[in-house]
Amino acid sequence: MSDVIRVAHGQTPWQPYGSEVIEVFNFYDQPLMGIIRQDGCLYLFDCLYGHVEGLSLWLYSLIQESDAQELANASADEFDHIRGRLHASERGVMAIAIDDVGIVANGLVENVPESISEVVGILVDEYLEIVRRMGIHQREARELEDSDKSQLVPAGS
Amino acid sequence: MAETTPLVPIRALRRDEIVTQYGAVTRAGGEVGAFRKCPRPSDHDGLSAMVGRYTAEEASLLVRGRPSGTPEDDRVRYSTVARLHDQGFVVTHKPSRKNPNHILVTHSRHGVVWPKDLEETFRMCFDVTVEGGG
Repeated sequence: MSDVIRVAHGQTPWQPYGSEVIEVFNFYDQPLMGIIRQDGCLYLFDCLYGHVEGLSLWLYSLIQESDAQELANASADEFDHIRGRLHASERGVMAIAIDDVGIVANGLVENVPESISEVVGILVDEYLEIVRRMGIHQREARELEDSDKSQLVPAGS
Repeated sequence: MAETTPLVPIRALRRDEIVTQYGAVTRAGGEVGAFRKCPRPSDHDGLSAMVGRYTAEEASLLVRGRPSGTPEDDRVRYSTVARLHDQGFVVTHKPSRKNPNHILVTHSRHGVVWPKDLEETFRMCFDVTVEGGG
């Protein structure tokens, strides 16, 4: 019995180390949120980013049988609140996965806040926006450079 | 897929119903195609889409559970149950708790292991891609 899930390089993010998928709450091309059982313990797994992207970020939290029942019986309005409360714990595990490769990195997270999914979502969005702007700036700089070169008059002409 | 407890019952799909596939371009590591072309090798269930016509913003809410932080990267494209059926694809309503209009696409002959030419056949079932963030 362990309060943190065991995950390792190359494993499927929604089914690490011989775990059994008990319930799937969200699915798009793969299970994105649900409950798995490993070594007799239940864990809530949750894709926080990368639902349709090649790179994804996952959170795993230990839950009890009663928590699983509560989630299964929750109304649409209650569901996300319960999900956040279950993620709020002393220790959780986060992992990065790459499409068709599996988990490539993971780490222990202590004192996980109830707002973890929102916080991670905001940070990832900010990161991607910066990457996007950098891409635009680099493209514009290349175009400007190409334009300057085309206006050069060959020496001796 | 393991058993799930959807909030809506599974239903038969009509041929004239619109199918929306949602995807996003990935900028980290270079821009790549927005849409999944075939089921994952590890996937025994099929390729996901949604029954009904959704904007990229609406599709993001259904799949991610929140608005996309980079809506200009989001994409949707549309087909119909009939167009997919006529090319041998099997379209099944498979609602989840978070996405009542989720559907799975498999192929009547190839199941979830699609040869390259079938990926192209699948792509041809869809109309022009619509970008998000507009």
